[in-house]
Amino acid sequence: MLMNFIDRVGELNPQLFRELKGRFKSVNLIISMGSSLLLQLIVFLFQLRDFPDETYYLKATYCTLGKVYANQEQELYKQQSLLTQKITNYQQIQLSDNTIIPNLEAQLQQVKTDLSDLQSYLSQNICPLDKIDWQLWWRDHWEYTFLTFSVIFIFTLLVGGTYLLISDLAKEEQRGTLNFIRLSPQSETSILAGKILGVPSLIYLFVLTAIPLHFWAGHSAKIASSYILSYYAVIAGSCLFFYSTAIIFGLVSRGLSNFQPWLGSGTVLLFLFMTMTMVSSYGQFNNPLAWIRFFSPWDMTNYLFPNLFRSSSYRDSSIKDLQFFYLPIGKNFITLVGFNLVNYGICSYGIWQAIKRCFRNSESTILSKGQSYLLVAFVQIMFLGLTLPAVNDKYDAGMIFVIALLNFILVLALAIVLSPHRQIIQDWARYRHQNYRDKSVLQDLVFGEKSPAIVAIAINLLIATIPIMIWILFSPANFYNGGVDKSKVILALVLAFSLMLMYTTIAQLMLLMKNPKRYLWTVGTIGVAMFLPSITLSVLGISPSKHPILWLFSTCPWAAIEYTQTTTIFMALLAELTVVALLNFQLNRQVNVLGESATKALLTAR
Amino acid sequence: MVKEIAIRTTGLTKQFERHVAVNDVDLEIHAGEVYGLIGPNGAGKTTLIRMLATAEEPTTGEIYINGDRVAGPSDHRLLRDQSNLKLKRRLGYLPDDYPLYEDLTVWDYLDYFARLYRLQGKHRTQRLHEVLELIQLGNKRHSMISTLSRGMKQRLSLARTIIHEPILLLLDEPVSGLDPIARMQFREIIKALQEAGMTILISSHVLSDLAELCTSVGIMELGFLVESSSLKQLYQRLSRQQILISTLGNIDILVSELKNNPLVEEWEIIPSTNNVRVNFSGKPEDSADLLRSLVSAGIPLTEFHCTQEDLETIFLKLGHKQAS
Repeated sequence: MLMNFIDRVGELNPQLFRELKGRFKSVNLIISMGSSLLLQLIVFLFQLRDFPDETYYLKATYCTLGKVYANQEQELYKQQSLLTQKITNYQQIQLSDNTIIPNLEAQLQQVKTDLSDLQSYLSQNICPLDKIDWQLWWRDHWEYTFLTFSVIFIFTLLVGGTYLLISDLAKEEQRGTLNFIRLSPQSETSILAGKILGVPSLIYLFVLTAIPLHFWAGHSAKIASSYILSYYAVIAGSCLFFYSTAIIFGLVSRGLSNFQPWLGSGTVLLFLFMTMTMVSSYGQFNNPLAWIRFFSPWDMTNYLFPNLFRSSSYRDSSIKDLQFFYLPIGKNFITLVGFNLVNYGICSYGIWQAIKRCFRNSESTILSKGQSYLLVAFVQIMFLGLTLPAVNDKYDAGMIFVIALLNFILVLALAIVLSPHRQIIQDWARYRHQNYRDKSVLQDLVFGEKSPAIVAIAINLLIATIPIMIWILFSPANFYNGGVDKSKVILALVLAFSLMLMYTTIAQLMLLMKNPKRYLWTVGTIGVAMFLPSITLSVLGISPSKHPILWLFSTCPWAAIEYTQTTTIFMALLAELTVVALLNFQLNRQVNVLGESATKALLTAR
Repeated sequence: MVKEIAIRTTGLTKQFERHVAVNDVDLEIHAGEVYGLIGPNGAGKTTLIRMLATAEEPTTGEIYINGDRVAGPSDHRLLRDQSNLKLKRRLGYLPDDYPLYEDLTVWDYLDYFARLYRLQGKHRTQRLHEVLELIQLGNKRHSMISTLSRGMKQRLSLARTIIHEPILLLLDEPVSGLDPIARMQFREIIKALQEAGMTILISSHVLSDLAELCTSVGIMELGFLVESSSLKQLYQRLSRQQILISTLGNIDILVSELKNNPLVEEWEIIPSTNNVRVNFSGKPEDSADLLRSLVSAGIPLTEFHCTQEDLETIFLKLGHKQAS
């Protein structure tokens, strides 16, 4: 029957057929399902450990009598403190009647005896079985079981699945079998969807075996089915996103071979732990960084099942205030789950576009230039959508700079991602006059597949900067509580813009090196160039208020704008633009040298 | 009848850094031919085949397969794109290393690739049986691939290459590392495929194999295609006919008789035997005349054997280093 099923699946997706054929051997099936059943048994027995029996004390949580006694106890405590209070009061004044205090003391003694009697009764006596609130006991313990499995599912699926996918791709790439699949007439979507469904199939089986218990536990814990199903939807969405990411990672990081799967799944594990602590500690949602949290399933899981991390009510209320472009999407669970799923969907779709490019052609850039513009625009929508609702009248420029910094990191990453292989630039420069006669150079630089990326990066920088500019222009007040002129802030942004252009040009120049480790070198150099000046200045104690000009040339020019004159900023800008122009001149020369013919190279003795 | 052209390239070039692996190659292979590609290691054979198989993008130049342009300037995406489904179903490519999935059985492996190439239902099962019979692995179909011998694995790879009945086969060093029997089996399969009408491009170091299989050959050196013609023409042009003659009598009488024939260009007495090797430029009728004249001159002949210089000799004569 199983073989029949696999055969029928194979008609639809040959890749899935191959993965299942290789994996669904009886030993594997037994191990996968057996370990799942064993785990279920362990979790269930662990809960049964607390099952009330003949030794269940009166004071324990689920004894209904416990409450009655607790009330009595409470009453006695009150009397005790009242009497003590009275005694202290009477002791401070002169009393006509000497019997009052002894009387009170006798009463206090009585109360104390009663209290200790009650306590010893409570600690010695056992709750009668018919006075135990079985319903509540089972509800709570079903909930523990449910939540335990909810957490196990997330870790197993995301960490285990990404590991298997990346290691499978790495293995196929190493052996060279992936080339045959590439040359087959199947679409990338069909092949890689087959991989996503097939490679972690034993993990799916493990989870599916536990789903009945999980659902039943949720149902018994009186959790609405719609919430449980939403949880499954969020998990499915996150699997799609993480597995797509795993595939693109596997495709682009071919050089790392054996280390690849560990790096990939390790990062996922770290990310899950990080966002898990975020859920239980940090509450603010309306800021650009909070976008990261929507990629992890914890926030939604915690929202759907508030007992997950025992978070108190004031914390989880923040996600309920979540707004996106002032739309109150946090108000009900459908819009929130929907938002989460749409986010997963759009991002996975974007990743699949990259996968389609990289799967067939290992030399092509991960994104085309056109796609990078869309990516940057999408990121701006997400940043601004999450940030704008948090902005109010007293708002200062901090949030803008967070967005600007994040954008710069994004554009720098794009500078590396968009730069074609050295070989391709070489071919482009050498044979452009033959191969692309009908196209203008500008069109080629903006959209071309093989042209150097520098123009495209400048366009991306513009896309990233313009929304912030507009925001600043239309924001009601000046910044830093009115202390800084708007025009200065804009000038600082332009300054940062030219600075980024400088870094990306350096990156381009370095990527043209012959050194096989050029990517590593580039990332290292740019990282140092970006962070070293600011760090050095801070370490040396040179504050922006005293030496603003030095800070103007660091990666955070906005730290200095408050203390600098507009003309100085302008001069700094001119200086930086000169450097950018010189670097681009050098880049142009470099590309020309790469593209010269063998004869020319020979004649110039290169 | 004008034969259809299966592969045509114009100005095909592939450059790695400053090194030009394939340099301005104009190749033409007619349909139904078995084309042998010869050349020392590093001559650019593998790169050329990879470009034809669409596994690599040319730096510049054009490739036409069955008249359809599959690579050339201003192609933004490779022909590897899924838009070229038709082409992919026509091509079968066997690289010089032939990776396999060790965790599958022979049958499952071929079944998987048959499905990848969209063979359906009964036709697929039938094709699998056909191919297994052709490569003589029918009795091994339920064995795990990891248990097969090298020759079997090679044949299985070939089966994978032809499972979808391509009309153009590209085989890169298919017989390297095989023992003589496995090589012979492989040759038989290739012959069967040619009879089935496939066009086959095969690169090899084993020139005797190529001589037996090919209808045309191309010689590559330093990225250039320095020679490309049918085997017949090549022999006509470059291979001399030789006749080996043995006599029981006096060798000098034989030689003096040979001198009389104008078509005899050169002769060489093989030392310490009564044999003479003659370079003869005539047609078969002329050599028959020669034999008749020798017999009528009363020379006691024991052997009169016409041969041609083989491919290896021609190759070496062309001044190419055969490295293997």
